[in-house]
Formats: sequence, structure tokens, C-alpha cells
Amino acid sequence: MTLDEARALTHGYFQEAFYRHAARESLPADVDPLLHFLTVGWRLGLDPGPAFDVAFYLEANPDVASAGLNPLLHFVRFGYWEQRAPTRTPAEPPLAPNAGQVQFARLLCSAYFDEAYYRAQDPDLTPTDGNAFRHFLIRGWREGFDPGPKFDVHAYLTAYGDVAASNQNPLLHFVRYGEQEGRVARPPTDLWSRELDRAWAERAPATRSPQPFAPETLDPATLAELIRQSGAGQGDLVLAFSHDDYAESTGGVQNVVGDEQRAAAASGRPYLHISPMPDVLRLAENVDPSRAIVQLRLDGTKRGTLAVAGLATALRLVRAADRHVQPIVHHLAGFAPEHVSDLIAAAASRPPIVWVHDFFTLCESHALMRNNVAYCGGPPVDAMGCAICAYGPARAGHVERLRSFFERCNPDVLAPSASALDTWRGMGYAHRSGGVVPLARLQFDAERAGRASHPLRVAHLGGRSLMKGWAVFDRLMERHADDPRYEFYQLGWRDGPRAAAGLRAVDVDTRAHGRSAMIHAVRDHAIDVVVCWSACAETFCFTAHEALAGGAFVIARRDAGNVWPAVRDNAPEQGLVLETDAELFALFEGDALPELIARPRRFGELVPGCGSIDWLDAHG
Amino acid sequence: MAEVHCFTSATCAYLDRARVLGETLRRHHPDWVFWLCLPDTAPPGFSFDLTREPFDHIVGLQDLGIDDLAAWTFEHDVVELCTAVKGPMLRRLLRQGAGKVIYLDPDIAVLSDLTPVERLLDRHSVVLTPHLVHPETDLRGILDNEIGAMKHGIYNLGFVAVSNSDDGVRFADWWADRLLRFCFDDLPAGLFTDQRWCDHVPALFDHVHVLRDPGYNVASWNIARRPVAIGLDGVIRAAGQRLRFFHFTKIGSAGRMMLELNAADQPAVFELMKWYEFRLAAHADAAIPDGWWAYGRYNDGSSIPYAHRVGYRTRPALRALFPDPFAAGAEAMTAALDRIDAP
Repeated sequence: MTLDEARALTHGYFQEAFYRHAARESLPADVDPLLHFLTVGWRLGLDPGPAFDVAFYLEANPDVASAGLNPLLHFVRFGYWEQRAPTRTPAEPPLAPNAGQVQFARLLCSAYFDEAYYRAQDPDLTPTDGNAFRHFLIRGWREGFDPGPKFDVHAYLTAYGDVAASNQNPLLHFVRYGEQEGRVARPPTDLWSRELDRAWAERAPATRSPQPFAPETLDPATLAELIRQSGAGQGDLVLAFSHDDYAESTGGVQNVVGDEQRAAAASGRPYLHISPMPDVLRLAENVDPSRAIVQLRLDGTKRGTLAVAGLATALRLVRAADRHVQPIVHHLAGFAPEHVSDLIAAAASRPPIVWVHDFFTLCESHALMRNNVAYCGGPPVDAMGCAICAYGPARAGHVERLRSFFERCNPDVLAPSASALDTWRGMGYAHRSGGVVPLARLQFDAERAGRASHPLRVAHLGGRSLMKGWAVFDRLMERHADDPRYEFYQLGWRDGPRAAAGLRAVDVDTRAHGRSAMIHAVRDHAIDVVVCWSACAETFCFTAHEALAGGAFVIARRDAGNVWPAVRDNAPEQGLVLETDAELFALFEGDALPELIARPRRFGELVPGCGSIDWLDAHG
Repeated sequence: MAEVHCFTSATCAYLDRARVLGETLRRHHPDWVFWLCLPDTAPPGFSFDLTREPFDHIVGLQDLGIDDLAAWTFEHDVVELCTAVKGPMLRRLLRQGAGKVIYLDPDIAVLSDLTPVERLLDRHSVVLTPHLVHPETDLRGILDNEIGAMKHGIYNLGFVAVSNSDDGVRFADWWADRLLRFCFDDLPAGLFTDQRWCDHVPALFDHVHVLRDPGYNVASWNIARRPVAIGLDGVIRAAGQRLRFFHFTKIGSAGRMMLELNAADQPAVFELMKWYEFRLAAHADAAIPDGWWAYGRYNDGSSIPYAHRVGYRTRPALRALFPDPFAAGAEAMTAALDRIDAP
């Protein structure tokens, strides 16, 4: 410490005139009084000023006395914050901390104080407030503000009652004592907590509002006539069910339905798409079919709304006109499955197809994420895991209704991957056959020598959701925040929690820039490695396909459904499969990664599959 | 009388917890008889309707055959009282002919079948669960958990199972006697309510079984050594064994944070906590004021400081002065204490 630093630290406590008077002849004329106090004076029992009592402090703090520490320096650096008294009758209120004390505390806390993060918590704390850290030290922690993302004031004080009782700043306690004592700065639960809260809030009975009334805008005869006049041709009428209007919302299933409608048109098949009102991610109640309203889109054109009862009448008219009807069920959310099976029974002359785009037929939690936080695999409905899951109370009834649906329809079941079909079959629902029809295929058009950027560019594709592996990617970033070997990217959308400092977030909007936007983003940002660490079992992993098409090396989690098969079956030399988070972290800690990704890599495009229509042509 | 009887002890403020315990116990053992021992009286505007509660019976303080009841009650704070009644209640059930009795704390939730405990009572008189069944490996674990258990008791008395055998009855009589006289939170005196007493049990009684299966009585103090995970078969396990019951000690405050800190990498623990909070909310009763306990105040409404309870139980003169201490009022009790303690 320099004398200037000591002067700043002891400001307010060391008073030169007071000290000169006290020291008298023991203070040589050519010696700086503060230097004298720091080296000699305190040992002589001299006080630095009226605000600090050397003898009292040493008596009251035997830990300081026995360590031979300068009592004033100990006080201004540590004792002040630990609520140790500077004199037998300390000033009330105590002296405000001086700039040197604040600066010293800031150094101690530097790994945990993030000024931008801190300011963002309190809109009233403007930049003109000057020292944000000072605000935290004195007031902010008492008002519940965290110094940064790595320290949770409330959690620390709640967990450690001794610290709370001591009335000292919890972060200073942590950096000085708590860390060495093995105390924890922050329970790493943000994402879990958020998802858990969401799961329980959404499944609470109070949120189950009654189905709103929607008027019918079509009548059965008009609809039957529209179908008869369809410009698509005289082929089978495709009767497609999915959970929302595919033309007005975006997503994987919506793309599949849209592609299927165009493929149907090209093959001379009219295409009537049915979606429920409202579109909710649970089964609708089995109300009277005259009160269940659906919306209809014929050959891509929105036609209006009709009750399920009226739709059944219209379909009977279609059947009476000797047209075959081919049902294809993409998703049952929002429907009463009893209505769908009634419609199929009334109208269908071909065996229905049911798609396994996700696992909604096994549980309302369509990705089988128990409580939204962990993949459960769809165990028996009386499993212990279901008993503590937000989706558990509804599951037995849900499965019962779907078991009846499959028994009644006995469909051909199509899944976009073998792993998805296997998982679905675990429930033992009735079905006529099972088949695998990938939603897209990779078409490579170029091969280049493997590159290794310096630093390596490592990306997460998609949103910041626990299900898609963000929690693990976030931990990976945290572990390598200061590692010059890596740069971390997120290509997707900035939903969810704040990201660690240093993340390069790139917005990728497939709605605005087309379905290849993600591939182009991977390519344009020269991403070296994509970590595909989905927590769930992906039925078809678009991001793994997109990463490969963009020329990236893919690190896949083995038990994530289609993620590793997507790599293994398309470009096994361009990926690596790992089992556990620990293996992933070890890979990044070590030095094997650059060599792995130095292999030649291919680039290409993702070509959508023709789905059900091709399958029907092959199997019909 | 039915073979297996289960009981808990809780005031009205813990009714939500006791209801979750009852609900979960009934799910797995609908044939067991479940008793609520209630060292409390219901607040005005609330009454129990057993047809809507998961309890088969409710037993009040007056049913336990305790002498000098008002004075005895006054000597205890809420935790001490809830704990002290466990002995007399156990003895009462055995005397009434229960074949097997299992006590569970109200803040426990039963997560799977407890039949193995019932089976153990065919061969054993008393079954106890230790706080810890694995040696700690780091300083924090030693300080918090091992030394903590040495202060508070080796066995967690959130659970105890007793058979109506000679040894089981001897244990129940002994424990009831000690708890009626010495169920206080007084660590310097070697007492921590009912728990330290049970450190003696394996030495004093025959056929005692120490249940070391990590699936029983998982709680914040042992969660770090009993990782909880839920398999793809849907089974919840602690340290690899089926989780039988979880002890949500102080879930609303420090206990929750200790669980979070000790189980930072165990999402299943957070799922359990969230589920438990949700069930508590479902069973909360708006007719019960926050923190209600009928014996927390003097008859005149003034609250009873703990020092008054300690003073009353340690100064015979006060007992003589106030046979019904609740009628004394805080002012009179303070004045009497000062008088007695004056030099």
C-alpha cells in the first residue's frame, strides 16, 4: 500500500493536528505523521484522532491484536463493514465510508460487482448517482439489490442467519470469510425456478378458463360445395388436424402442415385443415359437438368457422359424393379427441395417419418435460414423478382419453425419427403400423478444409430455454468467461434470462428471412462448434441439421432423442456425442477440441420432406 | 383396533402441512388410521370437519391425561409443546391397543409405500432414522451436519415407529415420562426437546432398529449426501434408494435456502419443493390467522415471552403464585419474576 492509499483509507480518522499534539516529541520533524502513526505511533498507544481509539480497538478485537495488525488499517478496511466499534462510545450515526474505503471494498468484491447489472435493477439509480458500488455497499444490499448475477443477497442472508444477524454487507462477508468457509454465493437455480413457476402457474386450476363462444360463419352445405369445387382436383380429400392455424403461426409443425398442403395440391388432393378454437395446449372438454367450434382452411384459403357437428354433416355429404377422405392428425391439442375420432369414423374411408411431432399424446407436457425442468420419458401415469409434476394431476385422464382415441382409430403412426417412434410406442397405444418419415433431409453441396478460428466460435442455436439446453450452455460460458480460447454465440432469440457478459447474441428470424436463416447465420458468423444439448428427447432436431448445413462441428448430448442420430446419419465426422455435462465441461477444459474440428467440413442446405403425401403415395 | 396407526402433532398454524402429510399418507396407505394430536385450540370462526380432513381422529391436550395441564402447557413454547405431546400420545395409542404406531412430523410428505417400516415392526420394537447415514467429507458438512447432529440429536425424531411389544411399550413409557418433564430447547443443559433423549434408545432398549436406508427422512441436513434423482421409470430415488418420505423442514424460510444451497445440482429437489409449496397453498385455510397458537398469549392478549416460560418452570414460587399462569398477564408475571430474582 502506498502512503497516498493509506491517506485515502484513513481519511476522517487520521487527523494530523490531533496526532502531532498527541505524539509531541516522539514524532521527528522530518517524518510524515501518518507514516509515523502507521509504523510506530499505534504501537506506542497513540490515537490517530478522536474518531478512533487504538487501545479500545485492540482490547475489543483480540483477533486483530494477536495478529499484530495495525488496528486503524484493519478497521477502515474490514472492521468498519463488520460493524466493529472504533471507540468505546462510537459516533452515532457512524462516519460515512470514505472514498478509500469504498475503493478498497470494490477491489475485494470486483469478481462479483457488475455495474450495468446493478444499475438495471433500480431505474431510479441514474448515472449521475456517481458510485453505484458505494450505493450497493451502504444502501443497496439492504434494499435487496444484488451486486451482479453471481451473488444473491436475499439467498445469502436467508441461508446464513449468522451473517444476517451481524448486520454486515453480505457480499463483503462472502469474499472475506464465506467463500473460504464453503458458503455459496448464489443458488444456481434461476432457470429451474422460472420454469417451475411457469409450470405450476399454467397448470393451476384457476387458469383453466371455460371455452369462449365463437360464432359459426359457415354451414355444412356450403363447406361441402366448396370442397366439391376445390381446384386441387378430384383426389382424396385430406382432412388435416393440428393445434392452430398453420398459416398464421410459425413453428415446426406449422411448416410441415403448410408443406403438406402444397404437396397435396400438387398431387390433386383437396386439403381441408381443421384447427380448434381456442388453440390451447391441452385437450378440450368433450362438450356437445354442436358447441365445439373449429376453424377451417381449404386448399390454403381461410374459409371460416363451423361446429364439429356441422363439420361431420359436411363430411358425410362429401362421402356421399363418392370422394374418399384421408384423415391426417398432426396434433390434438385444443381438440376433444372424442370429436376427432367421431369425425374420422363418420367420414374417413382411408385409415387415418397420426403424427408424433411431439409427445402430447403421452402427456400434456408435450416434450415430456416433468415440471418443465427435466425429461421424464413418459413413465406410467401412477409414477412417483407424475405425483409431484404440475402436469401429473391431469395425466391419467389425458392418457385414458387418448388410449380410447387410438383404439378407436387404429391409425398408421408416423414419426420424424426412430427414437420418437420408440418413445411413443412405450405407452402401448393401439396402431395399425408405425413408420419413420424425416421432416427434412440434408443436402451437402460443398466441402472445405476444417478451420479453427482463434478464438473458437462456439454457439447455441435457438432460444434461452432450459429444454433446449441453455442452462448448460450458460454454465459453459460462465466457466470460460475469461478463457481466450473461446467466443460464445447465441443464434436465435433473446428470450429468457439475462446472459453472461461476453455472449454475442445474434437475432435469427426465420419468419422474416426464411427457413434457411439459421443455416446462413451459422455460416455467416463462421461458427466453429454448435453445442446441441437439448434436455428433452428431440423428435426431429432441426438445429443439429442446421448446424451441420452451416458447416459447424456439432457436439451432441446422447440422450436427447434425434440430436445425435441426426449427426451420425448425415455427417458423423462432423460431430461428437457425449453423455454427461461433466464430459462436455471436460472437453472444453482440455485441448482436444481444435484437433477434432480441424477435420474437413461440409456445407449444404436442408430440403423439406414431403411428409404424409409421399408416404401415402408409397403405401396407399 | 386397527393394526397400524400413524400420528402427527401440529398447531392450527401448521394445519396446511398436516393436511399434506395426511393426503400423501392416505394415497399410499388408505387403510392406516391417521391421528392429529393438536396442542392448540381452534381460532374463533374455525372448526374441524373430519369429513373434509385427511385425519381420522383429532386428539387435544386435555385427552392426554397430563396433570396440572395449564401450568405444564405454559412451560413450553410452541415447538417444545408440539414435541412434548408426542410421548403421551404414543403411549395413549399403544394403551388403546394399536399394534404399530408411526409418528411423522407434520412437515413430512409421504412419497411412496411405507410397508417396509410396518414389516420392520414385526421384528423390532423401535425404529429410528439417523440424521446422517454417510460420513461427511468436507468441513462444512462436518460443522453443519455432523456437529449439528451431536448438538441436536443423532436421530431425527420427525419419524419414529414403535411396536406394541414389551420393549416398544417400555420405550414409550420412558419417552413419555421424560418428555413430560424435560422437553425443552436447552442445548447447554444437553436437551433439545425430544431428540437428545433418543440418543439413549439403542443403549437402553432391546430390538431397536436404526433405519439407515437413505430413502427415509431426506431433508436439508442430509440432502448433499443423498442426491435425489427421478429416473425414466418415474421412480424418485435418494442416494439410489426409493424415496419414502421427505422432510420439508422450515420450507418457508431458511430451510428452503439450505435445501437450495445443498442441492444446487439436483433439479428434482426443486421440483419437490415447488410441488410441496403448491400443495400447501391448496390446503391453506383462510380462517386461521397467521401464526395462530392458542397458548402463545396470556388470557389478556399479551404475548408470552420465552423468559416467562423458563422463569415459570424453574422457579417453584411462581407456580405457587400462579396455578393458572395464562391468567396472570405479562405485567404481573414480569413483576413477580423481578421480585423473586431481586437480591
